[in-house]
Amino acid sequence: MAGNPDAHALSSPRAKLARNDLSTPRRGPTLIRIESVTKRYADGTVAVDDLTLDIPDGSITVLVGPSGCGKTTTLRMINRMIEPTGGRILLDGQDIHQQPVNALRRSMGYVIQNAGLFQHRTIVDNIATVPRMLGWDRGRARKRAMELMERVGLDAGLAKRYPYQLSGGQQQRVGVARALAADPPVLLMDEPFSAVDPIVRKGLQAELLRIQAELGKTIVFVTHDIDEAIKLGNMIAVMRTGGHLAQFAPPDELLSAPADAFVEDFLGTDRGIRRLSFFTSAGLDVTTEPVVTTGADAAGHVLPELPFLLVTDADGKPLGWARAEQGEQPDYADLLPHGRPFVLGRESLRDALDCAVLSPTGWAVAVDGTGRVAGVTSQETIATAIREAHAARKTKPAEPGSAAADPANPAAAEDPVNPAEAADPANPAAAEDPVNPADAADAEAPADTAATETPADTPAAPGPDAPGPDTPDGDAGHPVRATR
Amino acid sequence: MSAYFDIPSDLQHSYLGLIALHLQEALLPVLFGLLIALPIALVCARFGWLYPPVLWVTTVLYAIPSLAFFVVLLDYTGDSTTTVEIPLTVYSLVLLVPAIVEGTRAVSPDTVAAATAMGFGSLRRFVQVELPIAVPAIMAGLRLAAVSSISLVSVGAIIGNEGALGNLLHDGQIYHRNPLIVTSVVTTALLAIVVDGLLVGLQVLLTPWQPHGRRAARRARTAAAVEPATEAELRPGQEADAPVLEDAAR
Ligand SMILES: Nc1ncnc2c1ncn2[C@@H]1O[C@H](COP(=O)(O)OP(=O)(O)O)[C@@H](O)[C@H]1O
Ligand SMILES: [Mg+2]
Repeated sequence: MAGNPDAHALSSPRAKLARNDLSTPRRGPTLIRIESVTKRYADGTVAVDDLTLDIPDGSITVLVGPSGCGKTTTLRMINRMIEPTGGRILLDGQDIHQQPVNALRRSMGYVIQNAGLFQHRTIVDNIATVPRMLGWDRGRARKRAMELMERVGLDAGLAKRYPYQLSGGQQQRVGVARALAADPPVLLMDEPFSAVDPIVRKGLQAELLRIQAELGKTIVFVTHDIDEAIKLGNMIAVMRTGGHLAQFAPPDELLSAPADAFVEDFLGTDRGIRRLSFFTSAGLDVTTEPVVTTGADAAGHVLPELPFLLVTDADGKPLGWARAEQGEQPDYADLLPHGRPFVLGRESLRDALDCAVLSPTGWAVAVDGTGRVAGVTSQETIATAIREAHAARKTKPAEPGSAAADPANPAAAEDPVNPAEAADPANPAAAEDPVNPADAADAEAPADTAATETPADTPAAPGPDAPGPDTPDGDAGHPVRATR
Repeated sequence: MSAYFDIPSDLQHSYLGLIALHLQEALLPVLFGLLIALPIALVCARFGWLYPPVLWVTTVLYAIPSLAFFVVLLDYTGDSTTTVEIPLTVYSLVLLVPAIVEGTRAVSPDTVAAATAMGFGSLRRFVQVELPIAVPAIMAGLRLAAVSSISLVSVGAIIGNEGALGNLLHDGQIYHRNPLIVTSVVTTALLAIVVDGLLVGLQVLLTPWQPHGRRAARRARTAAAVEPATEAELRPGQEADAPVLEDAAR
């Protein structure tokens, strides 16, 4: 099974992703199974009550809920820092209670809020801790530690420093590197980014998604921040006080169909807007009609509903909006700022809408991956696309979050900070497809289902959110997102 | 000058010889005390319920006057350095056990949790993580033990010829040679100051991971400022939920 630590070490993570994502349309096979687990502390507090949860392999599962709802307790039962008082936990089909506790823990990286670094060891030695315990020689362990510093975005010059010489954000990166050092298949993270300021946190989240796209670990991530959960989670378990599971669903499904009032309340007010993050802008109607190169003759370009022209440089990059009346030439020297454009097809309808709302003209500027203008679009057009996207999803009410209803992975790259990463929004697994003919064959079943359903049910919407049945992304169930 | 350094022959030592004897009688017990305190502290750290009774016993031992201790031991170890060293070892122990236990207990729960999660067993964790991090606390205990031991050695003069610089003081009194009293007192004080200074130096060597002095502290702040670190980032977590670690070996 894929969850076996040795198997992980041997197979390339991408090959593993491909297998997982293609063989089951909805989610990867279970790696960690929490089975009717209860934890009652000595003082009688029931921290976790009859919790059952299947944590899929190779993706990020977030445990989210208010403080004191039993998230930490649940996480610590997975590496046996806390023993359950009832039920059992299976790792790759094996009861973890039967396994030697320290070996079990070394197969799981653990990251906590304040990093918990060893203050008496240098950064490189902190990271090399587990490899050293596993018997690696000093040189190899240090080499591995240096590799990991690079992977988590730490300057190699910090290697010989001590933790007190690092900022909180840097310490947290060291914590992640240390957890990854022995290449464990599982990563347990307990509010790892809660104690850093919002800007650093955003960077760390993006970094985690990037690392996850490269390594395909099974990550159990605890947070009390629902936005962080939605940003990072492939699956989200919402817990309520007393250690009860309120809902376990992919983020898109959580936002569209909260199970009860508690979940709805916990999600906050603007979940409609936030859900747009999961709708791709790929099929959005854009027009190049009111787009002109600077200095060019603008005659006939001005739309009746838009008294502006978008001016680009000779290379097609946007310069700004010029006021223009029909039949007149605009003043190319007097431009309004065009604001942040969105990348058509890569960013979501939420980004498109945001750009439109912020634009001085009310129209959003769409660019391609290289930053050249692909067209402009109005708030009305975006609103139409949103309605169509919703309509397309309602055709699959029985299967929310499943492959057919889950549009590609539109949110793959909302993160404009990282365009290089985001350039490949498709599930990285897709490319591996031919490597695994057997798995690919498995995958045909769901693909076929999609093929028969999608065109029939959503004839009007080939665009925004329904991927072609043969688009590999569409088959990927709940895909591992590159960045968000 | 000779009034100060002309040592009476009944002491059987030169001035430097007295200093060497004094240091030996004072510091060997501290060393033994440390060696005995470590395993006791380990056991106390592992089995928390043992610590209060151990603390009680050591405190009661500390309450025994040194003189009574010496007199009882005379019957067994006679007029030897051992008679002085045994009580001093016990006193060191009394200072060092709490220093080590409290020091290792003060290690941040995050660090302990991280070590446990990385698969450190409790012995390995104690030796490789908790003990090194407790070095500043242990050094504070060692300094106290060393300085009080240096001053207590003098009491050995009362039971015979094993008080080192204390015997010099005693001779100064019986021979009415005040300069010898001055020499004894000043030398003892200087020894304490020098030994304490050396221990501080040792601590600096042992803890390169601690900000030492103002320059290092400033460097640390600068390093932290490289990234847009805010107060929030450097402050320990707002949500203090560190459930007591349960031991998993059941
Ligand atoms: N060692 C413990 N003994 C008793 N109660 C505990 C212990 N650890 C946690 N709890 C309680 O169990 C509940 C869940 O705690 P925890 O798992 O830390 O919650 P979360 O991580 O979601 O904030 C809380 O009510 C907490 O007070
Ligand atoms: Mg917690």
